[in-house]
Amino acid sequence: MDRREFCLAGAVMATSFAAARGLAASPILLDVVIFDSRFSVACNFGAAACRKGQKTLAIQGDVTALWRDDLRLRWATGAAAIGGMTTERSLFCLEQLAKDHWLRVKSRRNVLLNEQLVSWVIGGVDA
Amino acid sequence: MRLPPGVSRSDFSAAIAEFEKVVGSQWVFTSDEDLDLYRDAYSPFLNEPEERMASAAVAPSATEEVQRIVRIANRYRVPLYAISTGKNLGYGGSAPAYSGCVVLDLKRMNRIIEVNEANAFALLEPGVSYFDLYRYIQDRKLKVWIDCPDPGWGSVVGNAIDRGGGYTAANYRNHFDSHCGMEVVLPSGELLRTGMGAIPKAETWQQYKSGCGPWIDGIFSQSNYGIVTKMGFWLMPQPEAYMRCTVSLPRYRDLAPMVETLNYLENSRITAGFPDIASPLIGYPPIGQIQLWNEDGPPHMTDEHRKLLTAVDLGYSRELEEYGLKSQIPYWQLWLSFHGPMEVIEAQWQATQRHFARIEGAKFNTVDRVSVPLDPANIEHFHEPEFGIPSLRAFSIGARTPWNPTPSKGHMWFSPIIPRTGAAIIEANRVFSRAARDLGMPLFRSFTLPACFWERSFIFILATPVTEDPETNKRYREGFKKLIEIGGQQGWGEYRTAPVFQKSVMDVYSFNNHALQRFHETLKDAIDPNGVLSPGRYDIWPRHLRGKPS
Repeated sequence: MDRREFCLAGAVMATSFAAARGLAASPILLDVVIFDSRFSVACNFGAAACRKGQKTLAIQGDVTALWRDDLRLRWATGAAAIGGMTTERSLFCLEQLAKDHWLRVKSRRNVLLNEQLVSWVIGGVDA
Repeated sequence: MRLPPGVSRSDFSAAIAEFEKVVGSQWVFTSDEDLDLYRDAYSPFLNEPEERMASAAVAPSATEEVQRIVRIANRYRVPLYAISTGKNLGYGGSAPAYSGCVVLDLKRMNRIIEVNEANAFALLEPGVSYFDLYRYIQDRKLKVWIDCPDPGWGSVVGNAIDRGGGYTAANYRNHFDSHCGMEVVLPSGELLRTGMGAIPKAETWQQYKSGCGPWIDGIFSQSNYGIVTKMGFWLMPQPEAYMRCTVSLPRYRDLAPMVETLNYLENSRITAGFPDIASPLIGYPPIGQIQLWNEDGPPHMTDEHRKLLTAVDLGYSRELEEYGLKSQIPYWQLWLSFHGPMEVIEAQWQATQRHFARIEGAKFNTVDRVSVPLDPANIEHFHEPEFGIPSLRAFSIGARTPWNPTPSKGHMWFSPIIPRTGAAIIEANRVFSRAARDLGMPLFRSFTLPACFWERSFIFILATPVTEDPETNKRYREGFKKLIEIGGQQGWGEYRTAPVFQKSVMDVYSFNNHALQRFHETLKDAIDPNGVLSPGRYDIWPRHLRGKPS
């Protein structure tokens, strides 16, 4: 699903955007927002971010392709803050990969609507 | 500012200032927030005072910088702890073995110096990850495979130095064995090249391992005698085809002849792919299927089958075996893979079947028969590392799913080497299951099968969970040490372990009043008299720290 398709899909999704509003309120400028498309709450989160003009990328648990095709390149050209709503295990992987660029988890919140999910921001020390 | 033990604030500040002159201040890290990045994500002392912590980190970008840092460390007696990318989770991660060390982080040294397709080798710096090397090869359409562990985010050099393993053909799966030639910064700061690399202008550094005279590469693995700054690896020529097959055997007693036959076929190189032992009847998956089991759930099991499993002893009961025979569920299933030209691997599979057919009731199945490279659209159906493709999917092993409702916060790998016989599998289960039950350890609760990463031995690789409860973690740590000791009494030793357990493991290697340990210490004193390099790694301590708690 590319960004356009995602925004179209997101337009008809139920509204539960508290976490996304939280991200938007964050002082950290996010380069991209990651969401796990297996979970409707996370899809809503991604849709809200997309409507705000943020680039979004979907995963389904495994972050290999996200890392290989996007984050690796994004982070290689300079530290970039990202946010998202994923499982803890996906975040764990992203956290370990972020360490290679001296990036770290800046915030982490459990998602009340789905205990499997966390919303989070990864950024640099000054982000 | 955190200080290394025994180093004054003024000396440490002076050392840090000199490190900054070498690498630039942006590559020296002293704040708590930065140093948290070097904590072991799976520390068995998670959030306890004993958790190993760094005092600083410094990230050079070139060998010459490493040499200068080591010389500064000697001048101020500042202990360093070298890491490649620090991804060996379950075996210590990026945290030092000795709290207060300055982590020497080599991940910026990430140059792929050469990938030679014609001679199938690579020469790499320690910051090169499996993903990096794989991408480099793919971008250039080189017809060579890497062999990567699961997950594949770590350093090729670091994994080899830690003696990790992978999943392709036998002569590439043992990552240390498949290396050829090293460049090493010694604790004095002097630069050394091993093997043919010791000959200036040699073009055979990555073609002939040992050179002439003592072959010393081994002392730079799982040790603290030098910092490897370049390392060569033999790569596998891309095979034309891949075939995955199963051999299914109906009876419990078939385990021993199955292993004997496998050994003969492997040692003769009739089969060279990663062998994977499973038990459909006991409900024990092959390693290559764990991912799918975790994502989609295990195969369906009847209530009768499940009930029978509650009454087995060391994986056996006559009733269970009869149920398996009646229901045509194999007791054992050996997954074999073959790489090469199709006509060759077909012939290898034919020969393999002929040998296993001597076991009554053996059944054979060809699961996959594909040309290589794989169609990328189909790769998810396979265990990617068996095709030399790095992946992070393994991490869903710990994810919360209906089949894994309470994932752990990490794990410590318990990984003893045992003999490659069916009898040893059963004996190890007998010894470890009883001990684990007595110690309240969540291991060997059901009959457990070993992995076949190495050609000549078996290895159990079992995850002891790390939890958020310090009392539970303490119990597991103590139980883990006891299991190491009990294994040692049987002649079984770990192949690799986290710093917390390195003393316990090395104590098991005790022949002739710990002659090996004493030799390690003699070397340490000679090579690193100031004890600045990775003190305590694999329980090799410099003289001034010997016998003191870490």
